[in-house]
Amino acid sequence: MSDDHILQLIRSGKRSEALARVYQHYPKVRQLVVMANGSEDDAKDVFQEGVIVFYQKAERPDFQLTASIGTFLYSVCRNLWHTRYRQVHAREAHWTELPEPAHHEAERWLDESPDAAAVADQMLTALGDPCGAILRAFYYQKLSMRDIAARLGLGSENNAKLRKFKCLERAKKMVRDRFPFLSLISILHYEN
Amino acid sequence: MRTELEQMALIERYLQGAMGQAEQQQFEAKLANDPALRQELALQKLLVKAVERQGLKEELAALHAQLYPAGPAAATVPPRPNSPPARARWLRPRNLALAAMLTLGAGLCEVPLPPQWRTESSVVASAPAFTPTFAGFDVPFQTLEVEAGAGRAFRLASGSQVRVPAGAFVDQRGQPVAGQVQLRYREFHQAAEIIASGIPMEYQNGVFESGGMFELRGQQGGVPVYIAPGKRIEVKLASFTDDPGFKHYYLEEPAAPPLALNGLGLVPTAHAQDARLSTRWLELGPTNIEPNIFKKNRLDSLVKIRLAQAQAKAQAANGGDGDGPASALPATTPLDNRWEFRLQVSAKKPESDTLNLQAVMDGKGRVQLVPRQRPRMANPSKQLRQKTAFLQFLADNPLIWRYAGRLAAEEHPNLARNRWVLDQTWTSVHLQAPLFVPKRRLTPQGPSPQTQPRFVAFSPDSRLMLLGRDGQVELWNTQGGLLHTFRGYHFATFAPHAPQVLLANAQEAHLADFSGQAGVRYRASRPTKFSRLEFSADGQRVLGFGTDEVVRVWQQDGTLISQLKDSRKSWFVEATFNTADGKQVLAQAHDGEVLLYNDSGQVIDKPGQFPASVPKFGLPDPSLRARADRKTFTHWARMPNKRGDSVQINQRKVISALYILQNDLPVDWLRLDDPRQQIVQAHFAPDGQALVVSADDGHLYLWQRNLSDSVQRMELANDQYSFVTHVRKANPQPLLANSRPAARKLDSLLALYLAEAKAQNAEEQAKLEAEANVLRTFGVEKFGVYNIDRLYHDPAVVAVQATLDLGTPALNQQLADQGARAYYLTGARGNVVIRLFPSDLRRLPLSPQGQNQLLVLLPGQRVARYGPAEFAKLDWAQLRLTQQCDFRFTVAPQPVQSLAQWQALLGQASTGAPNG
Repeated sequence: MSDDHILQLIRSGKRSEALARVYQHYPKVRQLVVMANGSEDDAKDVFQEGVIVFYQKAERPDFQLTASIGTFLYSVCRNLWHTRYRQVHAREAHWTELPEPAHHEAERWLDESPDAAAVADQMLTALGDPCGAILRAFYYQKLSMRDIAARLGLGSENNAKLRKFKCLERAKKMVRDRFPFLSLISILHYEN
Repeated sequence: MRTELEQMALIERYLQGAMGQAEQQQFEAKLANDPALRQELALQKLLVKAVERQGLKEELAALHAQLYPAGPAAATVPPRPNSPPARARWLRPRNLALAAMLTLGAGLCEVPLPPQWRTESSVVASAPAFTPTFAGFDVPFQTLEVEAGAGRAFRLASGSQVRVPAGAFVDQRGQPVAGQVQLRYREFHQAAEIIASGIPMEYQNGVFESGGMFELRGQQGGVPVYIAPGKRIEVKLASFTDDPGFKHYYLEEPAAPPLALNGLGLVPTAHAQDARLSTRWLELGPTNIEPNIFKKNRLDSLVKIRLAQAQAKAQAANGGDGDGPASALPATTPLDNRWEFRLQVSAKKPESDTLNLQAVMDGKGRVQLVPRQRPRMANPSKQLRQKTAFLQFLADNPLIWRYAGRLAAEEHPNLARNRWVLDQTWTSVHLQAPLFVPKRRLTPQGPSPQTQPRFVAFSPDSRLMLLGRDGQVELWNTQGGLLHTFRGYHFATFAPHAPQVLLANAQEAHLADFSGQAGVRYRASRPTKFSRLEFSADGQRVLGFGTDEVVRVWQQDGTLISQLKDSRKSWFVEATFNTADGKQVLAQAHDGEVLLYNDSGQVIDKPGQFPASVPKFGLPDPSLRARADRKTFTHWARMPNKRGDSVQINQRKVISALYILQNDLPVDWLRLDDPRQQIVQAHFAPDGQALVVSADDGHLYLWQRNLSDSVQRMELANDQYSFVTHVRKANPQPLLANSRPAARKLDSLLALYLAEAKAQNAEEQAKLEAEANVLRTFGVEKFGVYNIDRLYHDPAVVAVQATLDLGTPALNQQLADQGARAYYLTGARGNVVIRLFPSDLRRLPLSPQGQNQLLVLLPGQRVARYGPAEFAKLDWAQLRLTQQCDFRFTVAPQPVQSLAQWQALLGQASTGAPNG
């Protein structure tokens, strides 16, 4: 399975298949993290975070692979782990050497307005389930409003649509209200 | 509010690209003028991305549990807000009421059977929902041990997965359970298993066709536990059918404990049928199908290995260059149990610079790699880890393995320093094709070899190098030969069109051929030290930039054309030709101003920027760039002490890696093998095929472009150390004359390994193929029996009046007197179990397409069977006419005593179910 094929899968929306393929790179990242004092769970989290970074990049039509997916993931995860590890062990002045230098492109991508994204993630979690489920069903599973209405028991299609927008509105409001420090400029800079 | 929603809908249409062109332009125009709308757009986009991330996160978590089921799943399960005890109290009164209703329901279902059909086991008991059909055997449970506080995920032999979240269990009082909990789990897929379990398959007016069924119970040291409210055990049940129409059902159990009812609604048992078992199945909802990705991926990877085996076999058949049995398989090559093969370090001194690794074959014919210095491993688990890693490595890279280990020459000049590599147990091996691979190391000559080179330059044809240090300039070829040393010079550059070098000493610059014979001189009016000399691209002019900060231009014959001096209160720090003919000169002053001079020394332009000229890391291909990064690491390594024994050091060191960037994106990196060395400079050869790197110990490392991918960078790693080296792929022309015997050994070794891998593969493949292709997910909130079902329906049935003839009058008499259980098995997969009652025989619907058999279970666990072979002989057209059939049964000679016997009797192998 070539990297190009995986990209094709991603762009044609065959998400599960693509993710399963991409997941084959897990052992290397796992080893990286475990070697650098991480636990299995750390490795899993870091890797999944890395996959999400990769996946959201790869969905963009202008995305070009400049290194293999494995290399990319490895680099992203390495950086993620470094950051995390440094946060956790801020007082410890040293860390053990990781085997491969950073992938600078990956670093740059990670720097893209991480605050706004993190806040949005928190808000969605806080949004709770009826809303979260509706939004996920529509934006992630790409179900039709009719299916969502049936599946989540929302009555008519129009009602479901209204519910969805209200949920979105609530999420927006939460981001605005609860995080006044979040500069809207930083959101504006969040260009995908 | 209304308008806000409309705006959101608009933004959404914009983000989804669902607008028409006109509308989109209009929207974009509005966007440009309306910062609030821009914010809304950005925020919405942000949230949609976040939703996607959340979805991905969930999907990945599920995938992880599926692919790595052994790992504890607990960490990923978010804590639920409601605490189990509180919820339990709230539920209790209602549950008691439900339990009472249930008991009542069960009572209604108990309809007496006609005495002639009743046997001990066919009595419908009111307490348990079902009883096993046979005495002495049943479908066995397997026990899954779970640490209640941590949760755990399991992957079972059928492909099913069971995922237990943390804190999933409570005791009878609703208190959380800690410690080890035993889950008892079994699956039912075939008719044999279903009948043996005694689980009724009737539902409403019909019979279930099962797509898989499981039973899950929990206990702790024999005391039952319950699933905590709000928790679910996720069971992804292997299903051997992906047909549509299935739903999920739960078998209602009268004796169910109060707490276990949580979360399931009750369906009134409206259809108490004549003399049948009543409906006890509760519909849970539609099923979902997901592929068994683990099976698919593992089979794929096995296919890959099979491919590699085929390749190796083909090579063995064709190989050897007519050398006869050179690459024969082990069957024809006698083997002793020790094989050595070498990782060649230096072409010059193979006997001294060799890493010896030893492949040792154990008594079971397995091959493992151990360093020769340590013939046996102290720790068996390490040994195992090493073996696993190398088997994996071999599985992934059998061809590389074949010629493995020829390190690129000069990469490891000092064996003693790398001895620690041999003492390590490596647990992983990674390969990557790098852009540049090491070619050789150039050892400094000169009076103080440790001095860093002042400059390195490639000749225009990329075959020679000038290297300046220590008051002398050395001319090297890229094979590592020192051709000449020009003593007393501090700078030199190659002439573009002639085999000459332009040298600078403290007084002047002059040309010289490669043997040092001096040629044309380029001088200033008084002795000047030139820090920079440059030929114009056409070779007609020479530029010299002296320590007097004057830029001079000569013709090729040594005639001085111009002297450029900054007329302002500044001085030049850099100068270069701006054109190929050398008629324009660009000079940068100390204050940063850049001046462009014409041939007669007049300033004709002030470009403002000096071209990013020949930087420290040169650029032959404009898209290619190199950059050295330094990082401070606490570096752990083993280094030799004076006696040569390894000692461990732990030093904070600055090490550097050289990144190669293409279009400003890093595409590769390289690092010197001794991390204590720093990369000082790097230069690309003009043809882009070579790269010279100078290290702070004065060595030069020459790297060449890896065009063929034949050389791979191999990273060995374990939990403490990593080691980077290079290996070569299979090459039809071995580079070293003495490699053939080694290659033979490696061939045999490879064949041995492949035989081993093949056996392992075959075993794994058989297991995998027995797994189901699809999984269907249950969220289990209550222990019990769960089933994937659809109502069996066959429009093409032929109804006949059936007479059962057990073969002997005694048995027929026994059947009439004492009764028995009778079953009709049918369905496309033969797993529709229809319990027959006497009334059914008057009009028995038979399916011509199904896999049919009739069974009568006689007392004493004897079985009479009218099997598929007999059904195949039936004349269905005749049956349609006569609507009568006399079934002559064959009575099995032995009573069935075990599940295996029972399955064999029904012609159903026990594969697939996890109960083997």
